Amino acid sequence: MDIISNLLSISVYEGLAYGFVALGVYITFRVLSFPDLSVDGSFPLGGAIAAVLITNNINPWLATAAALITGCIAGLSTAVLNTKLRINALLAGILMMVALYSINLLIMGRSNIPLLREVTVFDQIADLLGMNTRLSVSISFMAALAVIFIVILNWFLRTEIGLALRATGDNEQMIRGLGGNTDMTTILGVSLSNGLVALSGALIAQNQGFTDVGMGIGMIVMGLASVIIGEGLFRPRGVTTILLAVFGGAFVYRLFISVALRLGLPPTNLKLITSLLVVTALSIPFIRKKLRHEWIPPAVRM
Amino acid sequence: MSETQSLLHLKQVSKEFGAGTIDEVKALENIDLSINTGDFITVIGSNGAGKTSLLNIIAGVYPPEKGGNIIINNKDITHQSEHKRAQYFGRVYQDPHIGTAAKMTIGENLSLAMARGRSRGLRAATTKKRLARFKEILATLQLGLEDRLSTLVGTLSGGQRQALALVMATMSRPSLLLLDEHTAKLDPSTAGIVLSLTENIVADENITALMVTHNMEHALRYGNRLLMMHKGKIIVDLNRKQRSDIKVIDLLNAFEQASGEQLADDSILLGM
Repeated sequence: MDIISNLLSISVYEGLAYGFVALGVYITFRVLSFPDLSVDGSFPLGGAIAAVLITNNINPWLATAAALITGCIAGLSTAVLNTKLRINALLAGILMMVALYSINLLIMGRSNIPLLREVTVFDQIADLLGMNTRLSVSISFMAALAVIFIVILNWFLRTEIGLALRATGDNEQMIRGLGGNTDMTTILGVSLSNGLVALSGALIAQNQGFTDVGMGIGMIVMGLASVIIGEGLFRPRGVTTILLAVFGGAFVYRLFISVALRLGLPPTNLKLITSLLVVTALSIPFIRKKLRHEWIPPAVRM
Repeated sequence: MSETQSLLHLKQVSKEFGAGTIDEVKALENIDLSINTGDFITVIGSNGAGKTSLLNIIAGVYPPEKGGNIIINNKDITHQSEHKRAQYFGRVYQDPHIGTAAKMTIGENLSLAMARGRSRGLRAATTKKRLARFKEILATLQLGLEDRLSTLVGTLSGGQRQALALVMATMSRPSLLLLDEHTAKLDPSTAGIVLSLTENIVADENITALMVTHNMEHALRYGNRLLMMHKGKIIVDLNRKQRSDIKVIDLLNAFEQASGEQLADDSILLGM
């Protein structure tokens, strides 16, 4: 029983922490229809900024906020490459991801920075709440943060600007004809997305006690997997339920990974498990339709 | 506002596609056009005549070439971007999918349209007050859409979507309404409904409109002025008086006279 509750608590924490990456991926891939791959670079960017600032005795809250803002700037750069220089969205993201690898190393000065001896936001929260179990502190803090961001996004996506942002992903030609500046909404959305991803990177680095330049590898796939699982499992309708489903999907995804690890699968197999998980999540609706002899639309190439 | 007040001027507007290549097409060639406030102009011409290019260049999808000018209300908007000059123009496209956003609700679509010509802010987009107004507007269509404000637009039929697109293009009173064969993809009876809706809205709101059509009957029946285009040029320009006693067959003759060509496919233009 202990093993199960432990497994669940870890997955809840990880689902919340990586849920911000999923949220970011949801904003670009689903809301904006902008396949942004810079995420693999902006996640360790957040970790790098937070780690370097914290080891230089900057307040961990300030360091975390700085990570978020730096992530926004990375996203802004990707979006500017696309909207102002008209570079294909996919390529703009890849260029930014590759550039960020060097930038992250430049910021960190080495490939790994330990944070175990430093005071992080989690230590400060633990002191404040007088709790000493590390995991419950992490879960309460991440849950509070997730609620804050879900509330903010739920409000924002229903404002006039938020609506224009959603319309940019749905029907760009229409919203431009209605006076919407689609360059602006694209820049706003991709910045916001990468800000959330960098925030996640900064928090996870502080929680695990180190930041590594390679920790962003596979983040897009993980984020996409969470979004796809969330959509498939919870069938959300409307903005609020989608935001919740994204976090739900991240939880289920992390649970699968934790179980796989607990079953003794070597960590090197995790990427394979991720791929299989996504393939399964994507093919379930297909198989269901096939069994019911329903019409299935042809595969989309882009 | 007098009937003859000038609204929009196109001066020496040209547009080429694939210039310098074997596929070079002169979509528009030195177009001079003046549109008066209150005009309801129908534009007719065969495929590739430049009708859609004319609307695109007015709406700012692309700029004119070789120093042409576009002037609205005495203001030069030649180099203004599409979203900025959207404050002047409402547009309904041939494809109902372009004029509406499928993954958003009817209420959200209308809210997006309401913000045309204003700056978008952090105000709630679909307030109760706004939804009540949308309900009133949709009720005039008599399509039952007023009770479906939270329905996703993607689930509507083509005709319903086009009617919605028409409302969206006109609700914040454009200086000029651009209609790009907006009934061409609908079945005849739905096309008839959308056309009479168009006529009513244009008349009730006193909107200046430019309607491209493939259908000569429609071109003659609606509006007060008729333009015929061919190979990027306006070859016939008839005012209300000249138009009143003209029939489809006269239009065909006029086409042959002005273009010096036999119309290859009458059925396209007749489009019954």
